[in-house]
Amino acid sequence: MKNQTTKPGDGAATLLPGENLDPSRRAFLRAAGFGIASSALVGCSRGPTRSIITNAIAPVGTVPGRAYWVATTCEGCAAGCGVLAKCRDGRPVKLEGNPEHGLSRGGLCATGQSEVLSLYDSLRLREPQVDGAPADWARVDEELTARIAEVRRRGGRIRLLTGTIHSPSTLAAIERFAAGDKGFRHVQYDALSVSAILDAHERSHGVRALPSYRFGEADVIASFDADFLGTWISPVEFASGWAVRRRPDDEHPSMSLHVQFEAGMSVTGAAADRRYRLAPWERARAVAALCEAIEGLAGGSGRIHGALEGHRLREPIEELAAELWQAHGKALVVSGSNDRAVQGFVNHANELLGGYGRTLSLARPSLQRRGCDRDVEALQRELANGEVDLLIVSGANPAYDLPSSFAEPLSSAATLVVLSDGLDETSRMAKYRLPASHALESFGDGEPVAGHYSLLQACVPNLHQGRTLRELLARLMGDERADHVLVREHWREHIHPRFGASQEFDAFFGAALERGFVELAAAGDEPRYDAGSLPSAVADEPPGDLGLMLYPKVGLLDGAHAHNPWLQELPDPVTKVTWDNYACLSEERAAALGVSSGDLVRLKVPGLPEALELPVLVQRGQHDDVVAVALGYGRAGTDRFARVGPQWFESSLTVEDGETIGVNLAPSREFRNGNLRGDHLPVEIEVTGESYPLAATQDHHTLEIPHGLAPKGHEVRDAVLTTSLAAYAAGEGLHGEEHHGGEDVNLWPEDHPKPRHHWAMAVDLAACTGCSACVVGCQAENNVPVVGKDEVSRHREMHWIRIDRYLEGEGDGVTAAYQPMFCQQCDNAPCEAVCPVLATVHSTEGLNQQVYNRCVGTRYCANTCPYKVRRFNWFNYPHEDRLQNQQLNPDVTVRTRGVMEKCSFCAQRIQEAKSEAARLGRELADGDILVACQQSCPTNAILFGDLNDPESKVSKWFERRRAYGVLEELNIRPSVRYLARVRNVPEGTPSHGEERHV
Amino acid sequence: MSDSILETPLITGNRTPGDVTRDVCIPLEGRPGRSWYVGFLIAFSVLAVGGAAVIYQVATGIGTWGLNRTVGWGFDITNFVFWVGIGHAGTLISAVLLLFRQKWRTSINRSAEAMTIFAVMCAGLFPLIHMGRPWLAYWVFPYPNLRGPLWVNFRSALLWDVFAIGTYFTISLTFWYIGMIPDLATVRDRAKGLRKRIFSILSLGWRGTARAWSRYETACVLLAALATPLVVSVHSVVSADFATAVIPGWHATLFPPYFVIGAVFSGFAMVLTLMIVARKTMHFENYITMKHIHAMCKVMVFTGSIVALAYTTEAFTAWYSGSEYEQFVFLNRMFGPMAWSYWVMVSCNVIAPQLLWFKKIRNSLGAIFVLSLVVNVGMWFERFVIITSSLERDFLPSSWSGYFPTLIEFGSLIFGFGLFFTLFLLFCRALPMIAMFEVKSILPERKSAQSAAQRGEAA
Repeated sequence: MKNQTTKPGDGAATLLPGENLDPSRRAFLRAAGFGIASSALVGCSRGPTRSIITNAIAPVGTVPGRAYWVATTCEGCAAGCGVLAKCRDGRPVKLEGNPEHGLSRGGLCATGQSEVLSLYDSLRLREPQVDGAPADWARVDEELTARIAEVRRRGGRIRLLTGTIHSPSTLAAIERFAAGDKGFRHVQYDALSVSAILDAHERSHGVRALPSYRFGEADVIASFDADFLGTWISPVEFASGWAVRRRPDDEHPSMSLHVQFEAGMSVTGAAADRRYRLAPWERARAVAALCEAIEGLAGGSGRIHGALEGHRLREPIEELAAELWQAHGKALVVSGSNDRAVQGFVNHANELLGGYGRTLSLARPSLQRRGCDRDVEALQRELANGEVDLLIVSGANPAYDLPSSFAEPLSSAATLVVLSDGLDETSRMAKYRLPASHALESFGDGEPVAGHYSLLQACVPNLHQGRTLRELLARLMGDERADHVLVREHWREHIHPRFGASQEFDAFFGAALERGFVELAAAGDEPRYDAGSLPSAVADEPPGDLGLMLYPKVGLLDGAHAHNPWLQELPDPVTKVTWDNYACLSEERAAALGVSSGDLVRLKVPGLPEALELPVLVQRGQHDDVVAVALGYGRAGTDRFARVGPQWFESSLTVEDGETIGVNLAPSREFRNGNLRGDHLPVEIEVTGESYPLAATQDHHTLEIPHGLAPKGHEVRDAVLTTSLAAYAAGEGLHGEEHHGGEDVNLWPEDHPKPRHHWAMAVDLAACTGCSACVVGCQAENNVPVVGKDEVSRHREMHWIRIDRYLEGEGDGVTAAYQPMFCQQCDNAPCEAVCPVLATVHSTEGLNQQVYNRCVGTRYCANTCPYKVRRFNWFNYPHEDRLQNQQLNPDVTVRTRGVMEKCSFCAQRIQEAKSEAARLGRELADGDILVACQQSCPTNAILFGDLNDPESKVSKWFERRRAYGVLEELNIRPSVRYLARVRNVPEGTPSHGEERHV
Repeated sequence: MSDSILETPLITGNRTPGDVTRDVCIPLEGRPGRSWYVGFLIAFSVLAVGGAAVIYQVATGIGTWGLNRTVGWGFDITNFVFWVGIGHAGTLISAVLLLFRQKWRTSINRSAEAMTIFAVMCAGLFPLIHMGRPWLAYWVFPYPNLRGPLWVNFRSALLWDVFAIGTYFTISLTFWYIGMIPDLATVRDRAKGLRKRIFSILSLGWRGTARAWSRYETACVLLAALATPLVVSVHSVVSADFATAVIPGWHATLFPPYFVIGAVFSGFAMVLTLMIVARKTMHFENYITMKHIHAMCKVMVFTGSIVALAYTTEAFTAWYSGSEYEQFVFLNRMFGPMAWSYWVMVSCNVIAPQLLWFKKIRNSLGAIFVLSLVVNVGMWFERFVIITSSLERDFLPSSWSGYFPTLIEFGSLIFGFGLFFTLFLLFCRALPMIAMFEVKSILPERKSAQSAAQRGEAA
């Protein structure tokens, strides 16, 4: 490792000409350089200023009040989605998916959307701490360098424990750090481990790799508890691929078939065509049975015997096998299980079905999960034996999410160094507690899928004294180069050459920065399958009468984002509950235990020192023998949100002081056959007789009218229409069109002419997975406040988008329909007529405008809104955190108390696009305006456009056979239409209420 | 019903005009009795507690009420409609019965009108405090302004309310005041010192000349004619708040007559409640006789039956409409989570008043008093049921919710009652509660002359 001697033209010098000058000038030029760079390549530098207030004198090149976009990469999880960060006056205010990005294709999940708020978390660690006392970096560097040298001198063990790292430059830095140190090891682990997939491929294909999955290539998808639309590995990428084949249109009425086997209820299961309940311990045999059935169809000598015979789900498995076999080469089997036996059979099935190289690929493996559970287990042993001299932890929180057998010896590690945001449990145990840069304030790179390189750019200078792992390691090696120089140099030396020398490095790097990523075209050959690798063990014994399954929840995932109030208040797509985790029980099991939702039970899990109390949530579609509890809760310090909502004398705290939001069960997980398992835990349930309030945004979970209250013949409401693929392909319209298509029935003359534009939205319910990315995207865009648990339980959540979730079916076949519901901008808006002060009026472009200034707050409009999408400011919601306020969108008013609000169709974006078109002297084109929810949607289920333009996409969607307006029969003429769900089931399949529309 | 009333004298006890003046003026001139103090203390305490709740709510936000994204109105508008309804009996008694020359009204019309004024004051407060930003409440008035000018929305039933209630209050107040002038002059003539000065101003120099009386009578009839359509219009407009909205359970053409008759029903119940108490405590048994009470009972049983018919019609219309939403709202109202409130309403408003068919009940002041309270409770629940049960479960099941009032909301409820009774008790002490000059006009002439002669002899 050469010491830093920058030559002209070296490193970032061409970007930032001040790099090789004396310190004071350098500092000055850095600040100036930040301004220049922000217009084109923002954030290649760190300005010395620590001010977070909007600049009084703007940096050169920025136009005050004008947004600019920075292409970067999301680090909310390891999926590495491409992101465009919208910055205003030198600070990021909103993250959006990068539509050009080859993996995420423009979507960004709820977790990614919320990253911008985490940046401004005022409780983040601001400066290094040694033994709990503030210290400066110079001292930390000095002490750690000495300690490392000392350990190395006596041949001691240094361990680096991280989450998945796919950043080439960071990995290179680690490699350099490790060079020559035989005692060093880098252990990667994922709290949501899929290590078994990698292990299984090591066995079956000789490479320890995670395949990249191409759901868009599959005609038939069989998923065994892989929640690939919600939480599994790379949900945005997978959902976008999945949706390509899930939305038949009038010309091409075809779609893929998706069959889900799962123990709990997930958004993926909800979207499936067929769903079966399968306990985690039944998976191995079920997948084996599937393989056996496929082998039977493939002919030749079968390797698996006895799995299918007498299987509880024999018929559906055989049916599925036939469908998969028919789709040979276009079939995909996936499993979320972290059990090597299950994954071995999955690999076998995919091999039999000719999937490798087509629907999944090892030639171009995914690097989004690289954790190795065996390494973690080994580290645990080392720690327990006191063999580790120095443990550096970065991007991981083992004290929180690993089994307690890991966390306990952690504190005894000779020297614990933790580089993190400081909010995590592990850093609280550390001698050296070091602040990590947030992804939006640091430079970096990533390679989520082999050959797909993406870049991170700082959108704002470091708010605090954070460093990246790469920078920390460089400093410990005495390398004083700036972090971005390290990245750039790595790209110059290692990545650029792979793209051939056709382009100068500077141009190549510049283009990559601008685009956010570069992609290698070539891929190697698929490794060969070793047929002898098939696992032998088929049966996994149930852990007892009842088994505990820990599952990740949309948004909070492994809990790394538990300090983000947006995610805490995001209603879970499946249960619609906020601010808590709970024990999901099936209806039958709950009845047997004599409990209902909100009853407190005590869970005794062997891995935990004491029993934990959790409220019950009765979940239709849940396996009877499985109690499911979400991971990601019980994070230390989450009582910071106790008073996140308005405080008044009848309000209750979101969480008691000193307590945590939800309960953490992750330590009860265990290493089982070398893999971290949280789905096969014995558990005992004890009913306490107490109750605990759960704050849900939806109380009535189906479209069915409660028993005994339904008018005859109207037992089910038809807000969501569903059709079967067969009926749709046969050209049938939606039943009930007679009363739904109440078009030109208008006694009143049109008094709202829309001469230029008529904004409208269409939502494809066939593609909507309920993932809730739009909810958080809208919240970020429109300054929607967080109101806290008490307010949510009083049904006063403020989200402008509500994702209605209606469960359907009984027993095994439970699925759910999702319907994003927001202001429908009715042409005959009931709300407009009733406001006494004209605070809600119709625009000449068909928008139903809410005028906050004029609103006196009678709530009459909200009462009369048939969709109940209006939100009232019951209080002045807290906005005291000035750092957090930096996220607020300057284009949108922060509403005061007593004022009504609602979806505005992102009026500010419409205005911005119109101004931009006017400035460029051109007409507004279809697609110029992307509203926030539309932008965030991973499946492009939401479309916005101009109905006055008959050629616009939205006009075309409005004319589709699947299009209908909700409550159209009221003749309020909503400007939003929904495209009916399509399920790939035979015509007239019973068991679902909505099928009556076919 | 008037036949039976005309058979026997309306005023008993052989009162002379002088007696009338003395009887009515004594409460104004002496020190109040203990029962008044107790009553006032209770009423004022309730007002103070309720007022504190209202101040807290205005200072903190509407969130201190139990409303939510689905149910945007609860106690606030229930109280509003309830108090507007209470006011109706006053106008009906004073204006309509004046035009119909119903002489029995003379003993009760003054207090009934006072009740109207106070009830409308209470009613007017609720739309004010129910606003998210009540300090901007003046925006509901179409006044010339520099904001554009920004105008109000003439399509909004809430705006019609502003006009309807405003007109109603103005006319009622004027009518009440004009109707009081001769009596104020009587009080003036009996008073000394400061009271005399005050009543001199209030009585506007009334001298009781024939010309004054002639003009006075004309003015009263004119004002009565003006007030009469208000009996119908005010509550029709209030009902339009609901009828013009698309919410099933609100969106019904039946609402205007249904609300008007309900208002009269509840108004008479309130008059009865007040009169039974006042009659006893103020010793007005000779003026407010059982005849009056019977007459009001009959009005109640009549209007109560119309209310029952309205409930039936409403449910029938929902069924007959064929609209699943309408049908569901009524099934939900009757058997859903808030069914108890519906059945409270039916029991109080439909079943209980039927007892008044029995003469025995009509002769029992205690029973009538209880029934009048029951009807008031029932009519409060009627508004509550209409508002909340329609809102809580409307079109999309995802948004279905419930409604649980907070303590602050109960505070706002008692605030209305505290204000009403405080004002009414002050009225009892400060102004002649019975229209002396009108009562004098219906005194049984002969008997009173006799008694005067007797008294003269005794003297």
